[in-house]
Amino acid sequence: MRAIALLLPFASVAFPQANLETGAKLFRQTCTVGYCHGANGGSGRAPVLAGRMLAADYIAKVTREGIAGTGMPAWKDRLPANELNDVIAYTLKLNGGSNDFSHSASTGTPAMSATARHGKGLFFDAVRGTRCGTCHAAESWGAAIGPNLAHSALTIALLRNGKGGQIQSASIGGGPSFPALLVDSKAGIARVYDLTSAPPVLRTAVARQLKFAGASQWKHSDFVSSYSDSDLNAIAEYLKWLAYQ
Amino acid sequence: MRAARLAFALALAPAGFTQQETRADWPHYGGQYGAWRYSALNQVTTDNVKRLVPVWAFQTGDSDGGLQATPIVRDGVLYLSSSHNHIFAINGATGEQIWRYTYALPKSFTTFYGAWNRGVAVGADTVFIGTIDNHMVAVDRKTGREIWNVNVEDANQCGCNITGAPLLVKDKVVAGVTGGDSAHRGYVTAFDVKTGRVAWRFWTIPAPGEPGNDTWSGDSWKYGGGSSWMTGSYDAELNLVYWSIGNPAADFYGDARKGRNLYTDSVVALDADTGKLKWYHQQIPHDVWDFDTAYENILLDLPVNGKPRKLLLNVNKGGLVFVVDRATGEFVSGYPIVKHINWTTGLSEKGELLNRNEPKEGVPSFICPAIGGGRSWNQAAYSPLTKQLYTTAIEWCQEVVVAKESPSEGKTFFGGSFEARHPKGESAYSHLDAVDPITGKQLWSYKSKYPLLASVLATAGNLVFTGDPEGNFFALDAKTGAKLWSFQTGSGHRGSSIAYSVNGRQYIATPSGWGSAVAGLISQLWPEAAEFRNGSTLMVFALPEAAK
Repeated sequence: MRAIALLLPFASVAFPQANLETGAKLFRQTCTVGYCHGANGGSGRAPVLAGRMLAADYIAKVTREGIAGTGMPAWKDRLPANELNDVIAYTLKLNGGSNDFSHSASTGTPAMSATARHGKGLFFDAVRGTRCGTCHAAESWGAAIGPNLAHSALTIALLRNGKGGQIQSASIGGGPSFPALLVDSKAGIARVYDLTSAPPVLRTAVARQLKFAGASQWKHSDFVSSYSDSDLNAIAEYLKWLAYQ
Repeated sequence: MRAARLAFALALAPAGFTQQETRADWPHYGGQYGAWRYSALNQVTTDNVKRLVPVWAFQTGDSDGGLQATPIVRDGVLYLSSSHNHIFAINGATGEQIWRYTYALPKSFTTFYGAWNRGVAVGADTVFIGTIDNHMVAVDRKTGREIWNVNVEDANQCGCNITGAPLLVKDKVVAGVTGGDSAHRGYVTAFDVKTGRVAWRFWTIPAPGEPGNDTWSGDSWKYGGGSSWMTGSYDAELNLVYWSIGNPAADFYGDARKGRNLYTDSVVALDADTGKLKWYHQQIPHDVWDFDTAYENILLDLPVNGKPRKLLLNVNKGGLVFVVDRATGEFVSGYPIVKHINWTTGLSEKGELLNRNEPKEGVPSFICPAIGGGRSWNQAAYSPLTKQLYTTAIEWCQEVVVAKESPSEGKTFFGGSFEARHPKGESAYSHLDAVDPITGKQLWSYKSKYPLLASVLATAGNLVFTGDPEGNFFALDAKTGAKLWSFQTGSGHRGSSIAYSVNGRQYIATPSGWGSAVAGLISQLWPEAAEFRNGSTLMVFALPEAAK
């Protein structure tokens, strides 16, 4: 984002002679293959391009020169100039907004401390089979099974042991009991998370077949055993940063 | 009910040595566990196939990405999945919908790769599906009601999901994951069929301290790809699940992941109960072409040099077939299925690649075949009657430019770009061949203008069925390759046809519905293909009831 403001605007990014139909075709044949941009600029692996209102000069520059160190190649080496213009013109059409202003990106986000950044890495650490993100969501990653943890004053003990209390022992149709977190019960159908192991299983049952038998012996600490206290401290820093967003 | 009126006698071929042929049902993704895609039904034959007529059609209503599934049939009911993970239970004789399951995809989820799904697994009571946001789901086979649902790993973080059909093995359902072109570390996961709890997981890239981690330089193992995006096979006698592990990431840029990069581009044999690795056979050490080992594993019991062998045959995306001993992983034979192949000059007697032609950084390299594959994921068939392997193949090339790239978790991690090219000296084309599975010796070859991207079905009527991108679904004589019948289904073929029977009547069912990433890619060489109509219909054919 910040890089946008540093780019030198192109003298001209209007392409009166560009052929949008050819651009659309080239877009289908180049930008949307290889699982990159989505069809018609929609969602794909690479960023959405439709309706982004990005600066026109930024789009032209990135299309021509690529983004080093990412999957975005420099198309100036791959397409003849007229075709490159067509595909840029089509992308600008998808992008929407004006074609000739420079967009200045500014965000009010406070910088994340090194500890918080480390904590974020731990929160979502894919190398651990079970990580915080297995059951908690933050910043559009993770699974929103347990509570949102963005909070300014979380202690290591609380992160270790959880709040507890809501996990009950349940069984379905007289089957074996399991630690359960009730999601909802409506129209005679109940849904509970089975927390026996990670990742939790969302189980659906006929409500009258689901029986609860008091508080479960389930322990949050069993699922965070791969984290040391200093790990949890860093995670608390990250959650504090999140709370300020 | 109409069985009495039906005069069809299903003269069944004698039972095979490992019962890999299907009969009334089509119980698993590849037909049976050995993935032959061969039906022993022989009511429809080379003599009467010209009288085949459509008997019903089923529209899924979701054509985004076409229709890529293999339907499963059990006890006269057909189970079909469409894009966005809808499941339909359909009366196999009439085409009437029994129930439908609509997957509740979170509104906030944005689709990557594509919305398609390649099939379900069906057990005694339950139907299983993997989803485009990386959940595994079990639904009640009688009602379609959801029983359990597991978020395997957050799709937004991992850049991975499930498009392949799961494989039901005893009390577990086993599923792979996409993400081989993302900064991600792949796995194969087994779930308890009753509870949905993870029973075991095999990481396709070893962690530090595990054997094989030293085949990855630095931290490259963390984001090294190794997806498992198609469906495995199973040998009940050996109790082994066979799964194909895809390319390492970044696909083209390999300097940051020096080493053999185990277990990418390998077939792995896993203990069905524990997921422990029994053996592996790596086809391409340190792949820099995106030539996944990803496709079906066909289990064959055939003699090699006069000795009976338990074999596993795998078609690599780079256009090479690898045959190994499925008890040990020992290399047995290998051969190309395409003429235009220049990334290697062939295989040594031990199955090692000779003279690797690696693409270069910053300058275009002309590589054949294209990354869409010497063959795509659509599967081959094996007929025990003709003892032939029936596989499609595509003659096309590409220009690859390798570019240095750093991983960003869950994001595309290609390490270069590519553009399809015609082969030197001729236009790109495709073919469906009958070859000896051990030697690759060709019996016949059927040529197609456009890439054949649908699976092949072989039947005991000595027929081979497949479809083309223009919408033609056709039958060839399994012995000669002569085209005997063809029907225009209205949209191109990207799924897998099957044969089944209900009340003694044989049906041939085929998905018709153009779509997918490769479908977009082919318009680089065949611009008119960009206009091919998509769709999502299951077309079902049979001989007229009056026929006797």
